[in-house]
Amino acid sequence: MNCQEVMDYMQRQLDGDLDERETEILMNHTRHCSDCAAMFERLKLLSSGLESLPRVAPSYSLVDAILPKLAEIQAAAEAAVEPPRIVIAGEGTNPPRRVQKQAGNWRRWLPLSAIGGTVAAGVIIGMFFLSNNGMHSLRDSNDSGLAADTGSANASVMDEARTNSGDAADSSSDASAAKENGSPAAHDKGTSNDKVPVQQNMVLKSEEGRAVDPNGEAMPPITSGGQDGDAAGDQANSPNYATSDSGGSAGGNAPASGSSEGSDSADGGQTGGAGNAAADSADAGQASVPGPGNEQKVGSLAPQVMASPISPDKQYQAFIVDGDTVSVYTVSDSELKYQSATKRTGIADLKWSDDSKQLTYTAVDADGTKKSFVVDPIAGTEQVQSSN
Amino acid sequence: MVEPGLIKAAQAGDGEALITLLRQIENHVYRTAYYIVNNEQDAMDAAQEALIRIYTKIGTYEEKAQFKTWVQRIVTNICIDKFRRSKPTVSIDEHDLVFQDQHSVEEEVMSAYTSQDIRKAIDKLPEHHRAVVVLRYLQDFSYNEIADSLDLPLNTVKSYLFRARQQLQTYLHDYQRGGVRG
Repeated sequence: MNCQEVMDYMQRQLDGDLDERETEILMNHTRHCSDCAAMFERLKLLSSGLESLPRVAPSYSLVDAILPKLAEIQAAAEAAVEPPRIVIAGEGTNPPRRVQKQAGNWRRWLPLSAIGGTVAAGVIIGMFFLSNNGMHSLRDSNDSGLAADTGSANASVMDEARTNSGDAADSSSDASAAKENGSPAAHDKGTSNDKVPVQQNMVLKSEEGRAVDPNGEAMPPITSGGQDGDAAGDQANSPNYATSDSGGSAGGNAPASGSSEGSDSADGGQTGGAGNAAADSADAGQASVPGPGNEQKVGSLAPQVMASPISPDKQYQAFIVDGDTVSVYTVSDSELKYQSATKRTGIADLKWSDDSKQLTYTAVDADGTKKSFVVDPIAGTEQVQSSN
Repeated sequence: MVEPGLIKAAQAGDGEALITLLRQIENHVYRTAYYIVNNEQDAMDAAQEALIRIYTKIGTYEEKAQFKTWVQRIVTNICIDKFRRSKPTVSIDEHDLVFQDQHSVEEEVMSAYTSQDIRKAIDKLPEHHRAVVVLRYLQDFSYNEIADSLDLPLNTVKSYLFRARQQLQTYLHDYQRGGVRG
């Protein structure tokens, strides 16, 4: 045994990881090798130094310090349960219970699968999948659990944005959290890709069951994310998009998943793009804000035109609502600056002027011709630009 | 460290239980943060952030993981991600980890390292190596618990810990020999 191999033994000895035979080998070596003996002494000295590092404690109670913040989070979570549209991060009483219930189910199934061998286990996991989905929709139609469901999914993402305002790397840890949150089905796969279906699932589900807000007033409060173009920003947007989407459009499942591709590229231009699932779900949500028909047009005709473009000065964001109305909101506090009074079909090509003073878009006017319209968000007015 | 009953109650929506639970873990959370960010104020911030995250995510904790590793995962992630400072850390791989020191035994004056020196040396380690050392010595975690907390393979944990100790030993030894203290 050479000195290098002995080094490994020394290290393991420090952690109490050597058996008797190995200890004997180590001791034999150090008896004859003064260099290794000296090194071992120094490592032991270091290890005991590390062990006696002071067990520091905070100078004041951290929990006391965050109590107001926790109360705020709690209040927000409770408020979110009532009007289910905008869900703020929260530890509502419902989501944890729900998770508990699912976990309990999972555990009940588990022994069966253990008995049955791998094939049976596969079947049972499959059944679990089905039964779980069934339970979901049952619950969803039965009670207000829907809000709580979405709540738990969004809360994890939202919370991330709230508590950690600038880090892409953080998403890795939250990926697992979101996974746990989302559905037990994700557990047995265990790759981070799972996040995608889980998240989309949540979005879709919220669409199915939600009461539709006809005028789409729950438009997203846009955070600074789009402006920064970092991943956390995207994530900050995602729950908003998802919720506003479900509040604002009646659309079935198809628009969200079907059109997400088109707006992916659009969103990429807007935020710098982030290759994570949270961002993807943001895309899906965003895509369905404008409504199914127009979205595809936007995507295919002019992929560089964003479905919900933010003005160059980052002040305003324009949306197509329900496919027939153009709205402009301030990015900072989501104030409605403009909403087209006349409903039009074929709205497309939303584009900001370079000075951010005008939004132009094309649509089919009442007389059936395609026209360009110019919106002045400051004055809140709209004019026909030309009819060619 | 924390009673399972308390965790269950907290998960079931018992706000009192959740606060009690946070009080029980706050020192552990702070200690890890303190030794990873090596700065009291940042440690306070990171620990508070971790506690808030635990508060909001308690529903996502599952029994298959140990509660204490779940907690440490949250705090180490916050420390490493958010409080990552652009300070130069010596890449451990650049160093020749085989015996660098060819001095003979009689030159050695063995004396205990001060905790201040050790802290300084820890601060020079790359983040994940530092986190491994902190969990091993300040949380008394086993290899496996460290692996669970940091989501690293067991062998990586061992290799990080061994390299970190070797590196710390080198730093501290150089300190002492050079007479540079404090």
